[in-house]
Amino acid sequence: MKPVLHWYLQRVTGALLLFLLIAHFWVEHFASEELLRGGLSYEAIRGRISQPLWQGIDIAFLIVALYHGLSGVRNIVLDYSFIGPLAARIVTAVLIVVGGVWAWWGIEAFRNL
Amino acid sequence: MADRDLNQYRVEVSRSEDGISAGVRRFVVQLEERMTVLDALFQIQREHDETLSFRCACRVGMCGTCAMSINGVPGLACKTRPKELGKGVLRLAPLPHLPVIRDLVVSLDPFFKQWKEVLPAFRPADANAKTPAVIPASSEFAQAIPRKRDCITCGACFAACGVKATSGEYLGPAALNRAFLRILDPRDGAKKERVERINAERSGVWRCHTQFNCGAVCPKKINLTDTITRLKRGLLFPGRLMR
Ligand code: SF4
Ligand code: FES
Repeated sequence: MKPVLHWYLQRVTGALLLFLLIAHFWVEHFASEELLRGGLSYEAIRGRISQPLWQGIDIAFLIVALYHGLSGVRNIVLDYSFIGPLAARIVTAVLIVVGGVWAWWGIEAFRNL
Repeated sequence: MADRDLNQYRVEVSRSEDGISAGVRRFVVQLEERMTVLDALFQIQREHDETLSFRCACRVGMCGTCAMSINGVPGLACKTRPKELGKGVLRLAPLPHLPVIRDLVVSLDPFFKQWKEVLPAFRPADANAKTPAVIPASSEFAQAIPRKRDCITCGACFAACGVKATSGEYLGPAALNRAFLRILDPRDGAKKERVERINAERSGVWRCHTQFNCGAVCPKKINLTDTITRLKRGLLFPGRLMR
């Protein structure tokens, strides 16, 4: 992928993360009716994330966070001269695999609800 | 002497020879209010240690040769007044990220190597033009760049950049600013080559993490982070370099 796209996606995902993180914390920790009633449970959370809309939001959150975080790690790695072109390519491949496995793992969790 | 108002400063100078540190030497100097760090160095050389090495030429902030680390911040010795730093101690060291030749003298070879990478000289689009290519003062190009043209190649931005601390390949703020000016120039004939170089992932604009250190230390007050951000934006949306 062209470096300009990495840079652009890093910014776009950063902006999305700001919104998704705040929404996530708000819904999980402050706005849940069950939580307010003191009864937050696995069942209550499963009820919410069984809904396709919440699944979509959470999967988007997962992918956006993974891209932003792992692309950030790659960006830091590329700042170091002692990491040569081959090592940089290996790091990129490892990060892609890590991202793919993590995304698959997270999405799988929704299928087993 | 009696009618002059003198302030006393302790000056701590990092010494070295042939790349080997010789520790920090301490001197006491008396400076008038308007005197500079460079004046302090001359006083040390005259009165305490004639072997102390440092560079200078114009003494008025025009040539860029006297750049050094002053209390941990890269700057020009001839433009920095100890009085304005507000402390009685001056810690002077060579510019970081550059090879030290002796005491406060560094080699700017790595800086100019990157400078040359962006093809800094003007390359006319029409090399056989019979008349000089004029840039009208009212043109968008002329209006957009006055301050960005003021670089004196002192290397302060290069030394202050956090990315230069780890990346030898990164072109650095001054070279990118130079490339920006050339790319923006409507008479330029080497845009393609320059754009390729600034767009390289390991050495071009993508290494800049918007730390703002470069612009903060630039003695010419060039907003280098703005330059690099414009270049990035221009690579994403060609044609939006100026905005
Ligand atoms: S851009 Fe500023 S700090 Fe950098 S070399 Fe030029 S004058 Fe010095
Ligand atoms: S001596 Fe020329 S800029 Fe300081």
